[in-house]
Amino acid sequence: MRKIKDLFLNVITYVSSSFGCLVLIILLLFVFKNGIRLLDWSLITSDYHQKTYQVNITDTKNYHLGDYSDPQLDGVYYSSVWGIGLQDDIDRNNEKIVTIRYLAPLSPFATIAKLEVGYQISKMTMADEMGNNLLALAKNGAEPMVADLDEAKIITDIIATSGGGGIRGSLLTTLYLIVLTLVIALPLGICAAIYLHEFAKQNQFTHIIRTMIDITTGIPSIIFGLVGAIVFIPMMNKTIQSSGGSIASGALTLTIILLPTIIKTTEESLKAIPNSYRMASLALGASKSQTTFKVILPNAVFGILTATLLSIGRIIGESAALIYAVGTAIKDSVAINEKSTSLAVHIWSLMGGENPNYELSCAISIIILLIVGLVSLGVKLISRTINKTEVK
Amino acid sequence: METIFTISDLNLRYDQNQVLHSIDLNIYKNKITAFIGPSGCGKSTLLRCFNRMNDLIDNCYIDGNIEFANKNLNEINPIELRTKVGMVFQTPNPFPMSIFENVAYGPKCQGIRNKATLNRIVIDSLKKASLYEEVKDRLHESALGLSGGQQQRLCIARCLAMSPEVILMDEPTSALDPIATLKIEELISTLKKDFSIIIVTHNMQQAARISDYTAFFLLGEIIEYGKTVDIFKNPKNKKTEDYITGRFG
Repeated sequence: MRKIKDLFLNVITYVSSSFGCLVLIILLLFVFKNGIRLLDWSLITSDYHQKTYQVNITDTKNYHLGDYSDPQLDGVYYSSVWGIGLQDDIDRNNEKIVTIRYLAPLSPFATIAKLEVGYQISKMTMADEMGNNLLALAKNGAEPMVADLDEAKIITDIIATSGGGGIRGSLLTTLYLIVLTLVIALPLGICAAIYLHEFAKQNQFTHIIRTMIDITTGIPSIIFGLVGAIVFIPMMNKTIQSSGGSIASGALTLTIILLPTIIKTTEESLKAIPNSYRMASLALGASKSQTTFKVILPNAVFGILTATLLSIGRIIGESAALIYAVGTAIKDSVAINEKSTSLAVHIWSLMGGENPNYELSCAISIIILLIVGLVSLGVKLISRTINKTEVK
Repeated sequence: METIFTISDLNLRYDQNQVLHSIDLNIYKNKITAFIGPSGCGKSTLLRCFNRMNDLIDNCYIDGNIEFANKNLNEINPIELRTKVGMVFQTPNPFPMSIFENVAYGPKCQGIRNKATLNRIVIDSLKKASLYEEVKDRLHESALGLSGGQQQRLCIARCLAMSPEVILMDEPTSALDPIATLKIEELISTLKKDFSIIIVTHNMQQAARISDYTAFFLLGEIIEYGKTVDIFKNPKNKKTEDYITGRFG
């Protein structure tokens, strides 16, 4: 009877733990399956906004047509009349596009229109020998576009785009936010924790402060976002000439959000330091601050690292508070006193429009997961080396 | 005989709980004074009065007078006092740093930066604590890798590095095995030449072996104080006799 009971209880624990794992694995699989197509180096390095070029090729004296040799590329439709190879493609916004895959060196597209390989052509208006207008659209594909090109003698209008859909700006914003926030929040939080745990008398006053810190940990971040909008945005507008949200006001808002966590984690690590270290140091005639900074703090490094990791995770993941404080406009050029979006808010913006872009969102999610993973790996390595040097 | 500490009418309480009752005591210079008595009788508390470690306890109230070298203890800056009155604790508590850094910690806190001076102090202190020969090849390795007895001698060396006048020892061997204990006891006997030592101990044989003077505490009062030989050979008080013969305590 007892065996059956034990078995039953064991099975329950197995099932619940595997359920938890399963959910995580499914989530990761979902994100990776949907996002992996877009994941490449150019996603990180390129701008979000496309550059648009409007050009024409009408000056017949300056170019000649025909006898451009075909490089025979797979899946590329080639116009030997114009010396251009086009391919069907899908861009990061999940729309059908036509990409230039090959340009002959003397092709008018290169010499006159100054387009380059990798640019996308969204629309061309052409005229044939008889003066009939031909209109080729990217959504119809590369094949009819090349067929029209072969007929055409002049191109009255080309609308081409390059780049776009990248997350360079948002990634930079996120990095700026991490650095700026940690620079402000870590010293403040660590010093506050040291004061609370090492210097302050444990009385009603510190009790109230601790309770307040506990309460702030639970406040939804959107409320901090409001505080950021009401307090920090005007403050920054006055001091660093921003208009509306900015990375600076975002970092200040995040500082407020993170302080309780940093204080609590640091204080926990201070608590874990044996009191005998303090006693030994004081008994040797060290002052309280010498004791704190020479003995206590070096031993609390692991806790402080944990606090840093938690903070970085929180900064990367925070979206609600930043919608107000930093803004929702996806930017390519990033400055501390300007609006932009962090990666999380970038996802929010992508999903918020009329056509939610799941694929790019998932790709960004993968990048966020990678950053978090790398950070925690780094902290693990650092803490391991610290442990090695300390307890040998 | 020169006295280094003079205590008169000392009362100490934690909030409402009185721990020490009107203590009068003279501690003699360059002697080993042992405090014996059952647990909770206030001997460690009294020991912490000598270097004002009780100041660090919020609810501790002290009345009475303690003089250190004819100067009222309360008029001496506690930080300065603790450089002259060192302390060794019950459990070895080296800092999680290298052996060298452990010993150099005190002098560094006093602002000594010169490498050669620090080096000299560290080696001298380790030699005085008869630890140097055992650790000379690994001065820059972590102190936590030493054995318990070595750690305790390191703590003594750390204390000696401040060249104090008095060393307070709070049951320094209670966490150690008999061999390590013996080494520490030998060390204490040699240190007597240069330092005044006050040692709290639960080990009656230890008190008899190493100390010159012994004070017997019971419930926060000094029952008997005198030369160790007298206390152990012919105690005047019945309670002392009962305690040292093991009839209670």
